[in-house]
Amino acid sequence: MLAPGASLPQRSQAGQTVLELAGVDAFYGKAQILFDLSLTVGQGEVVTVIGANGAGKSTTLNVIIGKVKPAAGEVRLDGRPVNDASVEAIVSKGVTCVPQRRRIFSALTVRENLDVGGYVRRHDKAALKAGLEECYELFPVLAKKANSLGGVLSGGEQQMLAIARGLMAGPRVLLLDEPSMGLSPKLTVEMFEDIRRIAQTGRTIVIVEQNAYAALSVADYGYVLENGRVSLSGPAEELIEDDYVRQTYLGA
Amino acid sequence: MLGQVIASGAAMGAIYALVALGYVFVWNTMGIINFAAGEFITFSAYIFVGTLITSLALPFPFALALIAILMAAMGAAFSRLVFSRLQRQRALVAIIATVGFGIFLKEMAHIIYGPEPLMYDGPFGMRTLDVAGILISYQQLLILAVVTLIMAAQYLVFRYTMLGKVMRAVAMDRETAALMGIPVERVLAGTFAYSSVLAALAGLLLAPLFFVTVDMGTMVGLKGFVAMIIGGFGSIPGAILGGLLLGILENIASFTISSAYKDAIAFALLLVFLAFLPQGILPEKVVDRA
Repeated sequence: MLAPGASLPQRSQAGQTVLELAGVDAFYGKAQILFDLSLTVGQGEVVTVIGANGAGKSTTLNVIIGKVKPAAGEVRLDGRPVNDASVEAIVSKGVTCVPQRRRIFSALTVRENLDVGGYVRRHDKAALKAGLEECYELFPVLAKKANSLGGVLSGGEQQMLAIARGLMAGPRVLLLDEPSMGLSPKLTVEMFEDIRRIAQTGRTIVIVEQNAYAALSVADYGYVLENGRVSLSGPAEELIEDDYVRQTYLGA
Repeated sequence: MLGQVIASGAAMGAIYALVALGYVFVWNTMGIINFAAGEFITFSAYIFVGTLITSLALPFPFALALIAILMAAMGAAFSRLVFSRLQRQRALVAIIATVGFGIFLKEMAHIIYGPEPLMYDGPFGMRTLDVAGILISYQQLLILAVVTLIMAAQYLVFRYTMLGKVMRAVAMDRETAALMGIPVERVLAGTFAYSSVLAALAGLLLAPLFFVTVDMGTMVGLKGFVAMIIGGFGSIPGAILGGLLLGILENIASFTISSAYKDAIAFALLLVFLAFLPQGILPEKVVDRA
């Protein structure tokens, strides 16, 4: 068993590091949310960040996507610092965030939601067409409902649409903020199956989740976030077996 | 006679519809009512008639293009410098600020162009057309044609272009739109610029019907607001329908009752709607099942 704060043996990184947070402090107003947070994500890896409500999981994603600027430390993409980059610049560099609670544009059709998702690639018609085909192949129900308004889809379909909309920007790194939130257990299982299929396309995926078991079971590597600090990290299969993680996050 | 009343009411209503659309776009994207809209109309009418047509003697199409560009630039600048800051303020502060900016525009027009009203006959002068006994002036036909064209173009842009989809996405959920890499501030400025162009069009189309005075836009601005409420707050088809309905109804009422009460009739109509159909005729649909 590993005590909180201890680190599991470092992973052997097959791929190059794509994304890196090094010693990041982040604030919302005067409240400090992240404390000296460091994490690395390798090319093609699925990395999960688990933690309780308010541990700083969403803030971590907001720092990566450029919405929250770190007060200290560095965010690196392909080894280059991107602390000062705008959200638009980060998305253009191939990082997309699928927001919590799906946030579908409810009065836009499914197809229009996907079109808007492809905004940063709007001048590359061929890429958009290929992206649309991929989305429809991954989620055939979206092709069937292309002309329905986003707001009339079921919760599960909306989550598919949210992920597909994220994929339309052609990301190398896909950030998923609590994809299982508000979904039934059955839909959650299907959702993580979908995520596994997306991972097989070679994309790098970072999942932030309260549903620790589901998230760790699709991940290569995991981080446990507590009060804005990394308390534990390691290969996902080891974290699932870890006594502290099991007791605290897996309800075992 | 009723046909005549309806025809001229429709032309005025088309102007109200333009103004109402301006309110809708700014409301939907920024959540603020631009109470300077009437003065945008006044100011652009002055620039159009006083400078572009009279001083520079530009041909109508050229002056039209120029006023659209000028007002778009002014709208975008106002949006970036003033309006975007008002978003973080309480609603009352935002209202006072837009009213204040309206007074500023009005007085600027007064200082630049003087107290005398300007006169403009329009590109077709005072000629009229006889359609089955109904006399319609060329200017009224121009108003209906321009407004119809604008509505059609706007529908196509909103429905089928990336720009239109992006504007709708920003109006619905700015934060999520930003996550897609959409430059939200620029889209907001663009939306405000477009609503300023609508006001400019209203100003130059109205100029031949009234004298150009510092007060010409105030009442039209208010009636555009009434039109938006009648049609359904924040609804695009509602703004168009509300504008036309208001123009026609106020004309019918002033014909059958008395034209002295024309403005009172418009606001009485507002009270009736607020009491019995406060959501308007075509309210914005809110859909989200999940």
